[in-house]
Amino acid sequence: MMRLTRVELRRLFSRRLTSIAILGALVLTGLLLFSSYQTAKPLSGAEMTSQRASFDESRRQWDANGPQQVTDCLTQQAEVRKTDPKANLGCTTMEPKWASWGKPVVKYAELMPTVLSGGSLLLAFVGFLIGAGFVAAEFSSGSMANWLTFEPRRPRVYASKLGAAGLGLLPIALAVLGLLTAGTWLIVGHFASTAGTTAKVWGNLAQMGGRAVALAVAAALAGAAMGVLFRHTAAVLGIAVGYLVLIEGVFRQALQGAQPWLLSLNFQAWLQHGAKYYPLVCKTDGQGNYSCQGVEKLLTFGHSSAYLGILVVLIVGLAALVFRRRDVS
Amino acid sequence: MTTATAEFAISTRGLRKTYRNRKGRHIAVQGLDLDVPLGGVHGFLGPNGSGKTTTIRMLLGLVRADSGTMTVLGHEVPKQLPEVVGRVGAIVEAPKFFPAFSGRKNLQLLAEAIGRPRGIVDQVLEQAGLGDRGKDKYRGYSLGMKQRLAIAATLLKEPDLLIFDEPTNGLDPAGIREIRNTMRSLGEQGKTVLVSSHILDEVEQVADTVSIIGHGRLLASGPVADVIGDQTAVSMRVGVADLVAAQRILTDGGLVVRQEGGLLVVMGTSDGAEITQRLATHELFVNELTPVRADLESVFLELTADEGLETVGAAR
Repeated sequence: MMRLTRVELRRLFSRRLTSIAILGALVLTGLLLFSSYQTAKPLSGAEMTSQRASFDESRRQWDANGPQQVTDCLTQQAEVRKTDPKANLGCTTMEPKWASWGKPVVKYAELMPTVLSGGSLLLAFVGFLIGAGFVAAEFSSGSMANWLTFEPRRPRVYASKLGAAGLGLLPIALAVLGLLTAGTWLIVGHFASTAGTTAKVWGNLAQMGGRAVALAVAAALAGAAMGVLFRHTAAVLGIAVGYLVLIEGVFRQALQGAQPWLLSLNFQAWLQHGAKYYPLVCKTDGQGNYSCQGVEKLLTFGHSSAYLGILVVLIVGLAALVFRRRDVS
Repeated sequence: MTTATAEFAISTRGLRKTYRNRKGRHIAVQGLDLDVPLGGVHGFLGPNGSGKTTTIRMLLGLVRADSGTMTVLGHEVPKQLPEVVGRVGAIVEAPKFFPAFSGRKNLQLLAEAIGRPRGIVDQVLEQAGLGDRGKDKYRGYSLGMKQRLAIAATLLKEPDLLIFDEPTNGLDPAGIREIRNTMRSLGEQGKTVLVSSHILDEVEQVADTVSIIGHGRLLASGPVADVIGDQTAVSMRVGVADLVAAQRILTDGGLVVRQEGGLLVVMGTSDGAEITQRLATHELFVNELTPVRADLESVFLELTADEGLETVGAAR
C-alpha cells in the first residue's frame, strides 16, 4: 500500500497538469501578496496632496457652516429621540479631523485572516483540479486497465490514488500558506504595522491555516473521487464550474432559504470558524407594499464541519463502490 | 478450486458475460469452456465480436463475469488474482500508457508498483528493442513501438503466462513479423502464450494449439494442425489440358469435382498427391495444383453449421 502510494506520488508530481497547477498557485499567491501590498502601502505624495486638498475644502466649509450644521443635527436628533431615546446622529463628531482623512494604518492581525481566506479558496480549487486530473486522466487514457493488470486489488489502487492526491497537496498547501504568511508579514512590517500580533493571534492564524490545509486536502480527495466517477477531467471541471455558475451565481438569489447548504458559505464558515449571512426576508405590509430585508444569521463552524465532512465522505465512498465494481475497458 | 499444480495455464467453465446498455443487453460470452495447455503458444481465434477480448478481460479481473469459473495457473480468478498476477503479463487490445511520460518512466512506475528493481527497466527495454528510444515520450511512439513497450511491460514481471490480445493490429509487415517472432520465442522458452486473433494465418504461423470461439462459445479446440488444418484446406484447384476427361476420372474415383473457369475444383480434399497420381495414370498431367484455403468466415460457417446458434450481439 505504501509502495503504491509512493509510486502514485511520483506520478502525481511528474504530471504536467500538476506543474501547471502549482505554477498557477504560485502566480495567484503573488497576486494575493500584491493585493496585501496595495492594502498596506501608505498613500503616495500625489494621493496625500489630493487628500490634503479634500480636507482643506471640508474644513473651509465647516468653518463657514459647521455651527449651523451641528444645531440642525441636534434638532433632528431630539426629534428622533422622541421615538428612539437612544438615537445618536453623531452631531458631536461632525467636525472634520485630519485623522479621518488619508489611510488608516493596516495591522497584520487584521489583514492576515482575509489573505488566508483568499489563499484557502485558491488552494481548494488547485487541490480539486489536481485530484480530478490525476485520476481521470488514467481512465481517459486507458492506462487504468494496464495498471490493474499489475495490481488488481482495486481497494488498494483506489486508496493509493486518493492518498497520493491528498498527500501531494500537503506540501503545496504548506508552501502557499507559508509564502502568504511570511510575505504578508514582511510587506505589512515594512509599510504598515505588525504590532498587536500576539501569541493568541498567531494561534488563531495557525488554526485557520490548518483548516485551510484540511480544506485543500478534502478538495483533492473529492476531485480524485469525482475523477473516478466521471472518468474525464473536463467532465469533472464542467460539473464544478456548472455548480459555481448556476447554483452559486445565477440561482443564488432565488435560493435564499438554501444558503446554509451552499458550498461557498460553508467554506467561509469552516475557515473563519463560523460565518454570518444575510438571507432576504420579504413581506407585504398592511398597505400592500412589498419589501425585502436582509436578516443576519450565523452559519456555525459545527454545521460547516459536518456538512463538508459528510459531503466528502459520501463522494469518496460512492466512488470507492463504483470503482470496486465497474468494468474497466 | 486452487490446485497446487495446474493442468492448464487457463481454464474456464461456463463463463458468461452480458453487457447492458441503452439499446438493451447483448451476450458477449455464453457458457465458455476454455482450456489453454501449459507451455507453448495457444491461439485464441474468433471473428471480431466473438467474445475474445471480453474473455481476456474477465481473466485479468478487468471485467466481472456474470457466472462461471476461471482459473489462471491453477488459481481461481478473480478471487486469487493478486496471488498469480505477478506471473501473468498481458496486453489487452491497444497498449495504453501515460502519453506524457517517456517509455522508460512508464515502465519505472510499473516496476516500482510491483516491487521490481529499477535496473530491470533498461533490461526489458533493451529486450524489446527500445533501448535507444526509452527516453522519448510515449505519445511520440509509432504503433509498433507502443506494442514493443507493452511487451517490455509484460516482461517486467518475468511471467509464466503471457496474454496478447490482437497484438499485430495496425502494425506494418515488419512489425507483425517481429511480434510473431517474439511470441514464438517466448513459447519456445517454455512460457505459455495466449494470443487472441481474428486472423487465421497468424494463428497458424505462431500457435501450437488453438481454441476457436464464436458467438461467445467454444467451437473447436486442439492442436493447430488438427483444428485449423481440417477446416481450411477444403478443396484443390487443378489445372489440366483435358478438363472433361480429368473431371470424369476424378469423379469416377469418388471425388466431387466441378469446373470453375479454366480449372477444376476438387471438393473435400487437400490430398494433392492422390489427384496427380489418378490423373497421371491416365496420362493427364497437372499443370497447376493449388490448395484452396477457406477464410475464417468459412471456417466458422463450417464449425457452426450444425449448431443453429442463436444470434447474439457483437461484443468485444
